Amino acid sequence: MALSLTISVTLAVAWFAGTSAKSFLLAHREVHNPIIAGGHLDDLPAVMRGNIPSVTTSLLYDQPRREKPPRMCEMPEDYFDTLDQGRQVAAGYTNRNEYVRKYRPRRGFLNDRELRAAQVAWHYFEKFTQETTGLANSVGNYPSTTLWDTASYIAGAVAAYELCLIEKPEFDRRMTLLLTTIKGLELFRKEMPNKVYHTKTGAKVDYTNKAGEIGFSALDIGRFLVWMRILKNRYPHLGNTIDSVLLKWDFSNTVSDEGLLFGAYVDKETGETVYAQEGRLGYEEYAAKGFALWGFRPIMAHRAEPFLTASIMGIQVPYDGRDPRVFHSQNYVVTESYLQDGLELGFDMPHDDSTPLWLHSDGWRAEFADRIYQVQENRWRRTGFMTARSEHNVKGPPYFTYDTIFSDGYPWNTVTPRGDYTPDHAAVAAKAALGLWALWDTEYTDILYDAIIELYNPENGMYEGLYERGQGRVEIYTANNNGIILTSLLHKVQGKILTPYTGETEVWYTAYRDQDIRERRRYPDPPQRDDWLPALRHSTQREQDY
Amino acid sequence: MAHMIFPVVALVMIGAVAPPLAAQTQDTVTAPEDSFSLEAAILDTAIPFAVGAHEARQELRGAFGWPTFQEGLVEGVYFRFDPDGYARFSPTPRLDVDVFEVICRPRTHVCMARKGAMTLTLTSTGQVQIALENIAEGDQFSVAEGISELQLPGSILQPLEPRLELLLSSGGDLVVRRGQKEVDRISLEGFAAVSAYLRWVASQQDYSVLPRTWPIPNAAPAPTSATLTQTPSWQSPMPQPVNPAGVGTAPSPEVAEVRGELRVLRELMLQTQTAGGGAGAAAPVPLTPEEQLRDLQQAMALLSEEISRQQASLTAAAPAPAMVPVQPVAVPVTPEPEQVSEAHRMATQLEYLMTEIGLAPDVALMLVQQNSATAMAPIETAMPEQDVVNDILDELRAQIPETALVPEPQAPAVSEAEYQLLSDYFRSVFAQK
Repeated sequence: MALSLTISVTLAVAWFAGTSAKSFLLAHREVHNPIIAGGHLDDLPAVMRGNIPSVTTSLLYDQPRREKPPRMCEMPEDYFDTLDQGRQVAAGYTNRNEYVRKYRPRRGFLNDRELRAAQVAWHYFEKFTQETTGLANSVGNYPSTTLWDTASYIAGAVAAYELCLIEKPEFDRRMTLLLTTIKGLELFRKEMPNKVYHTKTGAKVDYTNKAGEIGFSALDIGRFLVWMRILKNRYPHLGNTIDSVLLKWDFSNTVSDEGLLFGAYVDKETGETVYAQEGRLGYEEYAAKGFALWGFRPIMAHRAEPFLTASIMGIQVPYDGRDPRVFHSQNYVVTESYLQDGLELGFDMPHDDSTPLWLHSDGWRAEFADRIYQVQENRWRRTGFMTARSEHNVKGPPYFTYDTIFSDGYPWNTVTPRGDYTPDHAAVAAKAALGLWALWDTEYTDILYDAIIELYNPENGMYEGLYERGQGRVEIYTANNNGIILTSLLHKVQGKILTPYTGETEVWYTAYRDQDIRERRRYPDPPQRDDWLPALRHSTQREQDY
Repeated sequence: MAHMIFPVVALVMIGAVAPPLAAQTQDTVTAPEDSFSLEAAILDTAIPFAVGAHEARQELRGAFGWPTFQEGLVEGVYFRFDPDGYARFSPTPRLDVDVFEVICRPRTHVCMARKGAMTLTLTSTGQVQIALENIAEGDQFSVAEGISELQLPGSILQPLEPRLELLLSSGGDLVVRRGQKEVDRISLEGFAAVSAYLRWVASQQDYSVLPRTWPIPNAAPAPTSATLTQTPSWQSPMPQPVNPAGVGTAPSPEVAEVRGELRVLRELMLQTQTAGGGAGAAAPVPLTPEEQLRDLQQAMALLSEEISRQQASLTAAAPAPAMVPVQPVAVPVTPEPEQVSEAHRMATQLEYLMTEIGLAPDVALMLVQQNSATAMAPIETAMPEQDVVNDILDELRAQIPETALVPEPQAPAVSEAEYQLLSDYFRSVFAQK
C-alpha cells in the first residue's frame, strides 16, 4: 500500500514537474519569440506571400520616398530654382558603394529648339503606329517590331504625355490598345514573346517579317520590363493591365538559378529550342535591373565581372571579358545601355526609391558611364571627331551597324552584325548625342547638341545620326532613336524617369497563389532585404592613363 | 565613251541600296528600309561558294535583317555575303582593307562590285565589264606587280576577253596614267573571286559558271526525302563540268532581272489567290512528275513551232539564191519535210538537254543553236564564193616561179640525252657557287 502510494506520489510529482516545465518553457518562448502571422518569423506558405510589401530603401531606412515630378506644363515656374543637384558633394564612392559623379545632368524646362525636337520625335510614333494593333514600327515604314523597340515607343508616349505634347485620353488610348495587343500576342512556344512581331497583324515573324518564330531575347524583355515598371509606377490605373500582360509569360527558362539571363533560339537542324546566355557588359546589367524591378534576382547578370579594360585615349574603358571566340557573342562597347541606365534608372539599384538623384546607388554603373563619356570627349579633343557612338540602323545593306567605342580588340571599331569592318558607317548617333547631352552638362555636349537638335525631318522624325566621314545624315528613322531622344528631353525636365511604386501590393505578386502556375513559371515573391542585388564597387581610375 | 554609259546605268539601277558608298544628302520620299524585304533574298547562304565556306548566324539587335550569312576564303581573299547578294571580299579576315563590295539590285540577280574608282559588272553575254571613274581619252592602263609593269590595251574598258580577264585576275594593281602622271592605282586583289561571284549570283548559284580551277565544294546539298526520287535532284556530288569564263552560259542581266520580277509577280499572284480564297483557299499544290512532263512537252511543242516558224522565215528571206548562180536542181523544191524533221531533231535535243541533263531552257536552246551552226559550217565552206577564191589562189600560186620556193632548212636531229632540264642546269650553277 505504502509502495503504491509512494509510486503514485512520485508519478504525480513527475507529472507536475513535467507539466510545469513545459508550461514554463512554452510560456518563456511565447514571451520572447512571438510569431505573428505575416511577421518575419512566420514562414508564410506560398498562398500568402503575395501580400507582403516589397522592401525598398524608403521602407527599410525609413526615408521619404521620391515623388513623381509634375508634368512640364504643370510645373511652377520656380520648380528648378530649388532643385537639389548635390553640387557641393565631392565625387566618389560612399560607404554603401553609392557613387557621386563628377558631372551633373542638365535640368530645366525645354527651350523652343528642344520642344520642336520633341514634337518631331513624337511625330515618328504618330506616323508609324499601326491603328490595328497599337504597335509602332521599329524602322519607318517597315511593319515589324521587337520588345526593345516597343519599350522605346512606350518611352516616347510617356515623354509626350509628361512634356504635354499629348493629353491623357490620347495617352491612355494608345497604352491600353498597345498593352491589350501585347497581352494577346502569340508567344514563342508558349513561353515568352517572340523576338519580332508584325506590327500590322501582331503575328509572330522571323527577321524577314515572314510568319515564323525566332526565339526570344532576354535583353529585349529586360528593357520592356523596365518600361512596364515605369508605366505601372507612374500610372497606377494601368497597373492591372500591365500585370495581366506579364502574368501570361513563362519565366522558367529566362532567369537561371545562378542569376544569369537566357535568351532562346531555334536550332536550325533539329528545330529544338536552344537556351543561351545573353548579354554582355553594359546591356546585361541594364536588362538585369529590368528583371529585378519585378522581383527576379539576376545576381550574376548584374555583376560587371568578368570584365577587362582597354586603355583608349587615356581612359580605361571597361569591356566584357568573355572571349568572343569561345562564346560566339561579340562584346561591343557602346553608349546606349549606359544612357538608358542613367536616364531611366538614374544609375540606381532596383530597390532604391529614396536616395537623391545625384547619388547613384548602383555605383559602379555610374562610374563606368563616366568613363564611357570621357573617352568620347577625349577623342573629340584629340582628333576633332565629334563622337557619340551607339548601335544604329543604316539605310540599305547591312541595315544595322555596331558603331562601337571598342570591340574585337579594336578601339572605335564600326562593324556589321556579321563582323565586317565598315568605317564608312561611323556616325554621331542622334540618340547617343542627346543622351550624353542630358546626363553630362559639359562644353562638349553643347557641341553635340548643336549638331543634332535640328537633325530632323518634320514629316518623319529625328534622323538616326550624322555620318562621321561627311556623307551627311543617316537617313533613316527608328523607334529606338526617337524614343531615346524623347527620354533624354524628358530627363531634362523630370530627372530619373522611374518613379517609386506607391501602392500596397500588386496583382503581379498575388495572382495564381492558389495554383501551381507561379512555381511552374517561376514568378517571384515580393523582394525582401535579402533579395536585393548587392551594391558593389570596382577600382576607380584616379588619373588618365596614357 | 560608250564604256562610261553602262556603269552609269548600273549605278542608277543599284544606287538605291548603296548608302555608305555614296554621300547621302538628299531627302528621300520612300522609306529607305523598303529595300529590305523577303523577296530581296536571292541566294541560299547554305550553298557554299567555295570549299570551306560555311553558313553562320548573325547577331541581330534590331527587328529585321538577314539571320544568316556565308563566309569563307577563296583565291586568297576572305568573303562574306548575305542572302540579298551583298558581299565583301578582302585579303584580311576582318574585311577591313582593300575591300571589294558587291551590291545587288533588289529582287534581281543583277549585281555590281566596286573597289575605289573601279566598278565591275557583267554584260549580257556574261563577260566582265570594267568601268573606271575620272578617266579621260588617252589615258593609259597597265598592270603593275612590284617593279614590273605590263601595258594594257584600251580594250579593258570593253567587255573583257577571257585572256585579259585572266591577266587582271592574276593580281597586282591596275594603274591609270595620263601622260607621265599616275592618276589612279587600284588593287586587283580579289578580282578573280569577285568576277566568279558575280557570275555565280547571276546564274543563281550554279557551279558550272565558275572557272575551271575553282575549288567547288565536293558535296551537293542533301536532298530531302520528298525530292529524292525526282530526276532534277540526281545531282552528282562531284564537281560539275565547268565552262571557261565568259563563254556565255551565265544568264544575261536582263534575263536574271526578268526572272526575278517574274518570281515576285508569281508570288504576288499566289498571295492574291490565297487572299481571295479566304481561309479555306487551297495552297498551290506542287506538280506531280506527270504534270511536269506534260508541261514540258507543251513547252517543247511551242518551242518547236516557234523554231520552225523562224527557220521558215529565214529560208524565205535568204538572199543567197539571188546572189549566187546555182543549179536550180540544187535548191530543194519542197523544204517543209526537212524543216519539220530539223525542228523535230532540235525539239528532241532540247527535250534531252532539259529533262535528262537538267539545263535551263535558255541554255539548252543556245547549245542547240550552236550545234546547228556548227553543222552548217561545212556547207558554208563549200559555198561557190569560196570556190572562186580558191581558184584565184591556185592561179596565183601557179604564176609564182618555182625558184622562189626555197626549201626550209631541216633542223638537225637532237637526241633526248642532249636535253638538260632547266632545273638541273640551275642546280648545277648554284652548286658551283
